[in-house]
Amino acid sequence: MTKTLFSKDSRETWFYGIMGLLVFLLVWQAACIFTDFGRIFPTPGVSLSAFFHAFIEPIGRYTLLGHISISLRRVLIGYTLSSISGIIIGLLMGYSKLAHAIIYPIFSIIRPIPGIAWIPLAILWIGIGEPTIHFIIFMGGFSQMVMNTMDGAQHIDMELVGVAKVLGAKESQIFRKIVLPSSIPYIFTGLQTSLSTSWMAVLAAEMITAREGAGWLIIAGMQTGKIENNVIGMISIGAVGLVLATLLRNSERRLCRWSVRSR
Amino acid sequence: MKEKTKYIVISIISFVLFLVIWDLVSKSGLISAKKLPAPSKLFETFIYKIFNKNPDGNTLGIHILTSLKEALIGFFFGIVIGVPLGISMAWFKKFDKFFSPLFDLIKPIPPVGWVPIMITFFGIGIMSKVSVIFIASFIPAVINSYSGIKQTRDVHKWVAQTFGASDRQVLFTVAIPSAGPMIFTGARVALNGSWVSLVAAELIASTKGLGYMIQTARLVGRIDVVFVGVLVIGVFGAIMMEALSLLERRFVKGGRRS
Amino acid sequence: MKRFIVVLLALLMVFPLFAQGTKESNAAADEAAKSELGIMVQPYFNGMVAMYIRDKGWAEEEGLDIDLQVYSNGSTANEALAAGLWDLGFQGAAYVFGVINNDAKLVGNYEETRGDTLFVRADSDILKVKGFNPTYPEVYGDPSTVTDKTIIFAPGTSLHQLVIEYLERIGVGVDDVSKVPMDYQTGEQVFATGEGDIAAFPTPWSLTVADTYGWVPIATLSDFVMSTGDLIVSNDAYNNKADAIKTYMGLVYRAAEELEADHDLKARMLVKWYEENGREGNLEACKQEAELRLLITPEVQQSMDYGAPENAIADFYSYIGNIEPEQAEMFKGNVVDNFWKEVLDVN
Repeated sequence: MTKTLFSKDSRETWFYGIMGLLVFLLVWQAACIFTDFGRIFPTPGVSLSAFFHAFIEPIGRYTLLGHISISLRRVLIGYTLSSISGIIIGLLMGYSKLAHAIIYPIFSIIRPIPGIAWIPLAILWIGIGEPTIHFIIFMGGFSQMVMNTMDGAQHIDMELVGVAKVLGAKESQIFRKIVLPSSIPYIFTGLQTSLSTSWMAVLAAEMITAREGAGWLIIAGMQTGKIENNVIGMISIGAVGLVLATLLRNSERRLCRWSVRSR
Repeated sequence: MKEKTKYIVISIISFVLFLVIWDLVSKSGLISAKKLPAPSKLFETFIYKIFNKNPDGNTLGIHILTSLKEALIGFFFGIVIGVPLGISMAWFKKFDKFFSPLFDLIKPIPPVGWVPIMITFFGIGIMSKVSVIFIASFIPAVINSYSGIKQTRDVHKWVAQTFGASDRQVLFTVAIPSAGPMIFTGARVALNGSWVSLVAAELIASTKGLGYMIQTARLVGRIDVVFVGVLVIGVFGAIMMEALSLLERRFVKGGRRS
Repeated sequence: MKRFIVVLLALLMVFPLFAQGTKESNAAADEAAKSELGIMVQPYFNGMVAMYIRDKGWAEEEGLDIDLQVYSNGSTANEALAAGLWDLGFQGAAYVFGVINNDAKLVGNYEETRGDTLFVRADSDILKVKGFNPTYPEVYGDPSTVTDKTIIFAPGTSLHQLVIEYLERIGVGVDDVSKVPMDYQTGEQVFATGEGDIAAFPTPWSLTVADTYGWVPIATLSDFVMSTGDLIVSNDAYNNKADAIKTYMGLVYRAAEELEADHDLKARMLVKWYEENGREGNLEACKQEAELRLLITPEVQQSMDYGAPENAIADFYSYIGNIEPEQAEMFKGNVVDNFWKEVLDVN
């Protein structure tokens, strides 16, 4: 990465990227000046300074970094669990018709149920501690993961499978050598989408009783009418999400290259 | 055909089994009915809500119609704007570089977070709800069509180019058709997203809608109504998703060979 | 067959995720000693008393083990009650739902709620008419100015009650206005952008919006009826932890006496409580709130008509269809006075 930092291509990337953000900030600023929006919503300048201020001055009980790391830990726990179980169930349902027949009807009803709607049920079942928060985040990522993985396992090249069978490959070999590799791009899309939905679910999850976390900032901002906190929460959720997505995208590039070659 | 029937039977059996176990768990008191109302009780509540306005002021049918309308409008705009944007981001490098960082920054912000902003822009009518739902479906639409195009096999592009296809022809005859499955996955995720963000959207100034019904039922502690609301969201979501899968089978199969 | 087993194993792997939590909370409930109390508060006025007791360390002195739980809204608090997570709560009007759904009991008051206020923008024509109903000379509005207006309020709260009472007093039918349900946080933002004609706010909002936006109050709930904040006790705690509950109630009254004797202290405690919960602790607004919302001292508790405001709000919820009439009757039976009488040595 570092050696390409100043190449022409990467200069362009930075240039256009920053242009994009600047245009966005300008629109925001204009909206604050020219519409009613500005009456309750802070300008980009005010928001950004509040954002950077929050690194030093605590909001509630923690500084911004504290809030972010607490949320990150929660999300990583829920996300890891949902990814593992999502990939397993997704592969199963994509590859085995029997598993599909058993799981899919129930899954398809659970899938569209939003994180916020799980809150009352989760409180009743699990209580109000950290596990509930993990549960909401889990549900946020789970169905995306299953859907994408399942799609991948379903869109395999049946000719390949046929050839492999003719050549005497065992079921487990087909699964490992064909189904798994050709599902990888889908799984990675799934990992990306589900990371973003898991990270999004942190807001719903922290609606419960949390008194810290990036999602809580938004909720507290809404509840107390301190829109800056709301914006700080949004910026930090956005920024952390961006970092996470970039990390995943880079590893996808690496892994997909492998999967392309293996085809 | 025979095999298909077999799997449908298995599906039905597993589903019924699921309900039976649930009913037993709830009725035996293993998990108190206060925490997990039995399916039979939920069915009663469901029937009750079809005809009765209490406790939230509207019958179930009105809630469902309102929610469907909001979600579908949001979904429609999410696809109409999101898919072309995703495709252009994947195809035109400068477009990609311009929008990617911004998009990545906005992408993780949950729909609920947008609520206050949308209210200030669109007021308390249906538009503010639709716009929250729009965001939720727009994002997966972009992501999936983007990755779909990006994964076009270079060989295919080269072949097309060798035969003298223009850049535009390559995009429309090679890249987009081969991204078909991915774009449809995107549409499904988007539909899911729009339906999932309903409850969040209906936190805004609603007097009807499934999200509102759940909200009110929570407030007054009617767990059975919460369950009915959640399950209705689940069932309708599943129906819409199946409908989209049917469409996918229709369109993508044709496109797959090319 | 092999495949079936694989499917089954995978399902088994996922299942514990869901099951685990329930087990935990059950186990925790079993272990709960009699001196352990889960106390439910919200990050508003009502939590300040519990914070004061915590900071003073009184509960430890009395041998109580307090778990102070802060819930962001009444819905969550009521679900937590159903899940058996807390024993005693400080709650406003939403206590009705907690009581009827969980057979919980109201055992005493901690505050007289005031400050629920209806506002209009300064240019509203509603301000042209004052004292239309001579019983309420300070209230603005009459049928001709209020009909067809849009009212923003939080449903199912005392603000809802305020709206209905207001309309009734000035002779406007409930269906002659359009009602927009919205939590007050969002309501403030929406009203500021020019949506709606009338908006209802509780404290501390009702103390600041006049200065911030120039909105004008047209009526308050205390103009019409009295409403209270109550101590709500779960059925389990009422039966099995009575002594601990009574001990804690004694602390609540003790805190009320100290805080009512010194409103500066009360205001400072409010600032502290709000800041602890991520809200700006505006000292001036807190001073006003401290003056306005009175904690129930032992004297006040004995002199007030305990049960009347509670029953009135249950009738109100039944009237608007949130609960059934028989539930309202059941609620009234669960407003009990034996605990506070014992705590305060009243016969």
